[in-house]
Amino acid sequence: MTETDLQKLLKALHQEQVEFVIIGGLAAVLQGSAYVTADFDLCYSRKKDNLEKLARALASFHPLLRAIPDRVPFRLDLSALRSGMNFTLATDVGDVDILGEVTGMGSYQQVEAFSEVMEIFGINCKVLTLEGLIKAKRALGRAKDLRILPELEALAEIRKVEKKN
Amino acid sequence: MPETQNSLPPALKRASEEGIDLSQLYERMALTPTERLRKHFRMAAAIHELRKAAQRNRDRNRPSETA
Repeated sequence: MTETDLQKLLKALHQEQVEFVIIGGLAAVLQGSAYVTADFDLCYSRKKDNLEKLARALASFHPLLRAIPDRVPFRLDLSALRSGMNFTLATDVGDVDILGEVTGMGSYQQVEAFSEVMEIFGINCKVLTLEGLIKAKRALGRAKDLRILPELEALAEIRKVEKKN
Repeated sequence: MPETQNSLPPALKRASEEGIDLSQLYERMALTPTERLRKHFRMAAAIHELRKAAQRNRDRNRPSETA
């Protein structure tokens, strides 16, 4: 995913007023991490109208399921979103993972409680906080999640000191 | 920024011991979120180019199948 791809994606999500929180590697980057990631992860609200907005926002990027061999025909619509929870998608703007639930955190409402608003390319977006990222990475517990923990904890410490001063 | 390793708060000391460059973290914290993203995408593009170059190099050095 390139900078232009991300701008297009955020613009589409914003235009449809999708309720989502940026999570994962890109949230870590937005919080100051030097981590390099190729995909975009978001947690979305599973309210019916939000599922429709999300499907509309992603439609123009031709989403396909990444995990299914041979890319079987797939249509990301209200019915598909209702029948699943977390989707790993390949799109025209790169890999996009949309999660209705986040391990260690829960549904959108719980994730949103650990989010803060950041202006990204002129668009106000909700981004998982350092505290939320640390909680999620600890819960996931995979090697790649644990590797990034010392950096996230250091960033949280730097921010704490900055707030004090 | 704290001056010596011993005076660092525990989280920073641990990160430093893990090989994390703390100066990079301070530098990124001084940027806006969009600037952090731009820096990230420049880095990602550079890594992508390096990988492509490495692949081209491997392809060039691969013994020919018809030999």
